[in-house]
Amino acid sequence: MALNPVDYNAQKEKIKTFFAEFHKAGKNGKDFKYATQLTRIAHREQVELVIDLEDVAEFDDELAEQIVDNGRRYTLLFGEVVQEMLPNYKEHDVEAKDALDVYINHRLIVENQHQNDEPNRLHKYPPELMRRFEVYFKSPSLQKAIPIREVKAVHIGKLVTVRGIVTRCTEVKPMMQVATYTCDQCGAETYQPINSTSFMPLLMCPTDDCKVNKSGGRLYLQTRGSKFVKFQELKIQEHSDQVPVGHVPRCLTVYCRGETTRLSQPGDHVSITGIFLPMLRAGFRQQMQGLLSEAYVEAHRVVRLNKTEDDEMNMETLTEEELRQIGEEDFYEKLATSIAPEIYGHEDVKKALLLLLVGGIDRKPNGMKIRGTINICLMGDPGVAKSQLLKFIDRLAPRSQYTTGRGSSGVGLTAAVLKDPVTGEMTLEGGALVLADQGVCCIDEFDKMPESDRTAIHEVMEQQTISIAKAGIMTTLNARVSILAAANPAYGRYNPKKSVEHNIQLPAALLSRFDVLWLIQDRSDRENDLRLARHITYVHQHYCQPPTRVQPLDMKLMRRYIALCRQKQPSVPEHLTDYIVSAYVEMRKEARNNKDMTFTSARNLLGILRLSTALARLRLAEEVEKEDVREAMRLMEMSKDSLNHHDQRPIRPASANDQIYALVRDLAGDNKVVKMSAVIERCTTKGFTPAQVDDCVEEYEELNVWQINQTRTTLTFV
Amino acid sequence: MPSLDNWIEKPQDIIQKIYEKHSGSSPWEKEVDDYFTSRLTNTETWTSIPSLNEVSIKDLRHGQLVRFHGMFQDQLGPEMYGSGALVKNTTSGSQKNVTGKFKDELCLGLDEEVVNWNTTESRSCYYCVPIPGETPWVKQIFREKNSLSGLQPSRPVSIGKKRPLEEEDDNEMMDLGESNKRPCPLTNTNPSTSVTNGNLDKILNFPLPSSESVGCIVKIYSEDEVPLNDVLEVVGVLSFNTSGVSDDEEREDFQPPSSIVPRIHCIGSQKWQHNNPYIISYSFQKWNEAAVVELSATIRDELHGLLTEFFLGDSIAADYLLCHLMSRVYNRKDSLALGKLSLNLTNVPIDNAVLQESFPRFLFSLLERLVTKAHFLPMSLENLNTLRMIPKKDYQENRLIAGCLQLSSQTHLVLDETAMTEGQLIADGVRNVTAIGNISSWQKIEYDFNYHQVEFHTDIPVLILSERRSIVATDVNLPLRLNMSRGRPFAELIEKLETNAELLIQMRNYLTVTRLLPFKLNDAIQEAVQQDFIQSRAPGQANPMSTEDFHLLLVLSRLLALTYGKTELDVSLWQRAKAMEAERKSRLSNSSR
Repeated sequence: MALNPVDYNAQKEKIKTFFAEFHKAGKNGKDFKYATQLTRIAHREQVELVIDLEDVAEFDDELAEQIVDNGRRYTLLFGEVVQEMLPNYKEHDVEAKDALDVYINHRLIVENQHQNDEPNRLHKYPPELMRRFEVYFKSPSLQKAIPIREVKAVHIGKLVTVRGIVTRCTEVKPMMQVATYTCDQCGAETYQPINSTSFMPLLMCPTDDCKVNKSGGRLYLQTRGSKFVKFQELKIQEHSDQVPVGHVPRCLTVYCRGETTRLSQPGDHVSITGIFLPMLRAGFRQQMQGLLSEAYVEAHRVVRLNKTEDDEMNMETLTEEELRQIGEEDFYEKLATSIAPEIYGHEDVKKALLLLLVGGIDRKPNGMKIRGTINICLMGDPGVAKSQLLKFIDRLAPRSQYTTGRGSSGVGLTAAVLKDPVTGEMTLEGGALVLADQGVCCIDEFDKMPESDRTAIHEVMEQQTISIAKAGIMTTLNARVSILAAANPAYGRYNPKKSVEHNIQLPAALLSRFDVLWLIQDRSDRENDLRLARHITYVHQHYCQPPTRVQPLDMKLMRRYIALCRQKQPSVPEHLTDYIVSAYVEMRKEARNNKDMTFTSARNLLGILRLSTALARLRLAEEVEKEDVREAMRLMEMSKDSLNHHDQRPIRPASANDQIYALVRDLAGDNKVVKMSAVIERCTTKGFTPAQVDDCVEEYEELNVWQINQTRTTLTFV
Repeated sequence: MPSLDNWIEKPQDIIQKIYEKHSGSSPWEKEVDDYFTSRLTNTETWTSIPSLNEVSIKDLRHGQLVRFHGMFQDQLGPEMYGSGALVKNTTSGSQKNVTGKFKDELCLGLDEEVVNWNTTESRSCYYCVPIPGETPWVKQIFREKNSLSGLQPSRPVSIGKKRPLEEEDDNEMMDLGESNKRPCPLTNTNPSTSVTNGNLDKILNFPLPSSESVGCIVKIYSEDEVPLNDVLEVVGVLSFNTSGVSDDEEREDFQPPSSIVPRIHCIGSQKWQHNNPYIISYSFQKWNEAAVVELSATIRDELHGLLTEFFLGDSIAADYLLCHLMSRVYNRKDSLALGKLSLNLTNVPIDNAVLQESFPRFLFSLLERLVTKAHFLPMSLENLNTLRMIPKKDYQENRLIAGCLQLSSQTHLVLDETAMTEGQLIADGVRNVTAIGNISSWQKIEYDFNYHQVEFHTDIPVLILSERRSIVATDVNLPLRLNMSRGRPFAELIEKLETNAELLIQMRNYLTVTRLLPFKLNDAIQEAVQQDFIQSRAPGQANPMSTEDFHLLLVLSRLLALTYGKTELDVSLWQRAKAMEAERKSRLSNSSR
């Protein structure tokens, strides 16, 4: 380090010129970024002076590097320079804001009075005492944060940026920076700058008066004359994704002083730039424990992050190699198969999930709001990897919440009103749906959710907001989320003879809000089985994924690509509208004729639009093409197929009798007795003739299912 | 003092000598490494180092080399230390360089003082506990093996090597130095620390209650990090009188008194695949497994016979239990842990009211005599509600509070669900049951870090004994068919096993060795297996095989092959596995009817 000693005086000059001359071309000519700030500081309008290392690098590359390497020293240097320069920037007298300002003023006056006869008095004021500003460095935004795990002894004294979650923070306390004493004999003030957490108070007066006269003046600490600084100690812990498997997350101590205090609370994700320093110990322990020293980070900059910002900071432009990958022909397939590559098959489901991640486009024509987010519900027999798909999406999506219907109450999903234990104030705490705003909310075991809680989701799914009216708080929170739900069939296995609502036992109102409903089944067919068997044995033999035609893409690349897609806002061109409308009309017609298990409504049309805009986004295109609409309809169709043609076994078309029986059962509900008139009325509305009803009644009476009374007015179930 | 043992008794002097030779510049660390690795190249010298597990700390000296084997329970994070210091003698005025590596504090004379610290480096610290769930016989054997070296820690039988010449000179100098300026304190029983029992438990922080009372902090100087819950044997410099800790200033970090938790400055370490004391193998000397494998078929028959008798004639149950004892996670693929086989034996007789005499207890005491690590946990409501099972991070003390599910790999967890009664399961209880379920189904556990959960992989075979199907999901659920007319010969069977010492040792080695054998599926059998799968799923088949069944069969047949000491699957084994499954399924459908 001591290879070529740095001339700090020269550095100071350099810093001076930097402050005075650094400027950027602004609107009104030159914008002297730091000079204006110095003026503000001189007038006590600003405390914190943040020096952006990018600016420094622009001015002098070398200087910036030196700052990073030797942060502590340069903080002091910058401080000295600023202090020297401040008087030049002062344009008018400043009103004293607090006691310390008055003290400083007095001291300056005294200093001026004594300047002539006692020139060395000047040195008695420690610079820290007179300073009312704080110098902080901001590392270049390109500089990557170091994982806490990697912060080692080599980083001591350097400016580092770390990221983590705040696990503990102390209250903000005043910490003495300069202790001021007065002598009981000569009345002179003595100052003691303090740099560590503890200090040894001075006892004897060191002034010449007392020393020469041997009067033995005692010193008394003057709280009012001392300078204190706000101090807070934080503990941060590394993010769980930075921890290697099987390791305990690391912690790091952070000291915040002055303006960096109170910027975070336990649980916050933060990015902290600061200087990594060993902790100084005083007295005996310094000698004995010299071997051991704890280290901490002296914070220069504390930024609260949320998960998305966190990721955006990692956003870099895609490399050429990656662009080439993206440009490939089958990129859409490739992306889809890269979703949960460990789950075999289900390409179309994965495609739908991919579109969910990309999302459609929100529209607000004339104040009406049409959501762009895509909601998907996966249904299926137990053990078809629904949860795995959900978990994967949760991991992949930059912003997501995973919850289970059973585990979370409606409050947990939407928002809770909590009473702050300290202040007694009512505060709102966002639930999973609020936290996943602009992201994905994965809800497993959707069917197990209590009815009352499900209603909370209705609003979210169409209006994308949550309204709260509780405990005097009335507000609407944004919840622009895509909902990915997974549900098990009500009777263990999916019964194809029943409608979707019956199978899942969810109200149609809720089901219709899902753009895509997908039934995943464990079907058997020879070709598929062979591939499945190969897949499983391969895993058992080689302990890894079998090589597939397409190599799954890296999760990070996918995330970045999806983020890129989401920036696009494709529009639907005029000439396509006719095509979409006619296709929709066709679908409606078909649905009517087929006695479909699902239904087709206007919501489906919106669904198709959403899917096709998502597809256009995926191509990074500005306009939706016919191909997109076709693919969107194909996906829709496939999802319906999965519900209707569940099995190869031919479905016996329900006979009229069976259908009527089902109607009667429905009508009866829990009652054992049904009025015949009601039965006939219901059946005729469904298009059966009274004769058919009579047939049915007789057939089932023979089977001893029900009995009809003599007058043929009531049916009684046996 | 015999000069031969100097590197065991006084490693610090050697390190200091090497440091001074190179005056602290770069190759000195490598030379220290080389010096010790060259001396630790065979089992004999390795084991001649006294083991802290068996030798009381009272018989050991501060600053000597010790061994310790244990589980790495917590990672305490890195520690900065001054690796080099300039020390000045105030009376003579002479200066010298001293290293701070491998020690907690410099042993300075009264007239010496540190002028300045030249370099700062970091080392990683770990908290180590004796292997949780180590079965009594393992402890016993280790005691017998190591107590000899404990009684005379300074005299290994012989090392067929002459010490290099230069070292002799060093020693003379060292002795000189010792007399006047190195007042390293000797053994210090430290009477000042009177720690109450409850407090002691809190400091030691063992996952399971244990008779042992030594945990230690291991400080590792190399860059590699040791994953949590690994079992290692470390050799290092013992240090147990650090002064001035936690007396004048409250420290937040976990710094227990060093008299209870000594520090070991690691010089060398060996990762243990298993802790069977008969066949511990070190990297420099592998145990010859072939002999054990050769015998495996016969030993299997013996063991199978014993288990069949124990299950009162139920030989399928014996097969499943054997497979269960072989199970080990050999690979993970995403969320899937391959090779595990959690077993739920139902229909366990509960006629006997005395809990000590119950069938699960007997079964455990049998297993305890066979395997090297095991833990018996009665799943009573009280246990579930009150026991701390999931490790939790304590941010106040900055340490990981152990839970009884923090176990090293291949610790058999035997859960007795017959102890369950009706009642209320509180929130903690639900969490505990979930944790057990996660281990049983996924071999993972989520440690509680207060602000978030951190997932840790486990490899804990779970055996659940219950009356009816357990509340915890398992891979295999097998109703027992006990022939109660055979009486209850459990105690006698265990006694009989004890008497045949040779067979017992063979069984123990068999279980340890075969479990770790490599295994492969060749192409021919793969093809056959795949065809089987497709066949069963052809339309019209009564019981189509689901993918889970297929996974289970592949695991089961693999484990079954291992029980015979075979490292490849063949068709007959595959058929046997299928037959076992078929039998099990028919039992299941019978019992549910």
